[in-house]
Amino acid sequence: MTQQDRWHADTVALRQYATGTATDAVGWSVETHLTGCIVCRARLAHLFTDADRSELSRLRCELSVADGLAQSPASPRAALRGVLGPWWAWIGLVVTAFTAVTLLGVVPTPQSGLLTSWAHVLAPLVPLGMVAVVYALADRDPAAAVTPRGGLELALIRTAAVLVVTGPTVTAGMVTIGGGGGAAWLLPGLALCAGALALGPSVGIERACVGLTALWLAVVAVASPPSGLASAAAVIQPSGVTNALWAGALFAAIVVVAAQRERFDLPGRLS
Amino acid sequence: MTASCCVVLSRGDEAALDELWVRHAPWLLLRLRRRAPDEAGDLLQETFLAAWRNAGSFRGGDAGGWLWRIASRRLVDASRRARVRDPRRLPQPTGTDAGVTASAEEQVLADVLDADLATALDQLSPELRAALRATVVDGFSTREAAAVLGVAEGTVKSRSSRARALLRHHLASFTHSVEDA
Repeated sequence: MTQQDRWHADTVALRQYATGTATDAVGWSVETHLTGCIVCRARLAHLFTDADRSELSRLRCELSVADGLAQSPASPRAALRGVLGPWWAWIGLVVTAFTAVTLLGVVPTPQSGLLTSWAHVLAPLVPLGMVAVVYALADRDPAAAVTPRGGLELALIRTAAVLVVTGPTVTAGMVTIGGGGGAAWLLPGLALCAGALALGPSVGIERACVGLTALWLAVVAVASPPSGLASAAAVIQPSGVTNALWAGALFAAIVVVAAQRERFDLPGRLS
Repeated sequence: MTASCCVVLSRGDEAALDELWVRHAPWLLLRLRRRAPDEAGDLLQETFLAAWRNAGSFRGGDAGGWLWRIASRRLVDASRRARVRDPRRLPQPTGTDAGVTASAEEQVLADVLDADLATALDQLSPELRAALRATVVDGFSTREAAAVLGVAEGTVKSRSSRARALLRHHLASFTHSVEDA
């Protein structure tokens, strides 16, 4: 080994570095050297203050008990769980969405026009709710801490997966209950999802989903007869005009997302 | 030795994690502390968690550079997270500023380290030094450095080129004064 021949950091410099008193010039020199020198890393550890020693052992203890570290390291399956959450959540969400649509499909609303059942009124909220659940479950999974995706990319993967799953599920439910407007829910549903992504960097995606759901329900409540506002009713009622408005909202939300893509940040990035 | 330690680590042996911790946690803690004083402990744990789960990405050799790469990504993430929570928050001044009382120890150091370079570095403003550290010492890309420092990418570029120009200038003037003497 050529360890002995190599340059090693000065003990005074190492001590200053260990006690946090090294100037930048000394600190940089030490840091650059430590990245590649086993000998000096060991010497530095011996110069640690008692306070830092106990800090280190506290951090190490927390690490053993936290995050299920005793389990095996990341497998492809664990990595996928960090991105999309547990598989059972997806099965549960699909079954729940389909059941809810078919059950609510037989409950008539006081609305007129195409919104003949509660399934028609609430269908656009399904993707939004599913995005919120996926975020809640996947980000709490220890695997999310090391998910090799992050920021906008992760948000788009999760949203796209939700749309791929909810699109056919809800549409199948709507066709099952009949009454027309099988895919009419899709455009407001898309616009609400895009809106949640647009608001995500400011308030967090889960909170944005909850807020937009509350907003939609408030509009539904305001639009409900007998004292319903015609303008509010017109917003949730699928028609040529509202479709154009929703398409506009979808486009605006996509522009907002693209404009602030740098602000997207989610825990767990290691690309 | 460290390489075989990581091979074991990829099989999920906690004793191997222990060994990795003993060897690398001390210097990583200090290095993170100079960059993010309040979050260094959390970042250290995140780094080891990530290393533990991604041991397969280790390419052999000394683990120091690999671990710092993981730690520096945690650092970038933490800076972005902090600004998402509070966009007004400015990055904390990190590292020790020049102007620590001169001591006998520093006299010794002046002989050991390149005193000219240290003096030249101390003459730079904290902003320029931070830009230089992020791009030269830490090996951040312009984009990562911008996230860590909380400034635009263009600012990182202009600051680090200004810092280099000033360093060159200072070092050149030292050389001249030696020649003049």
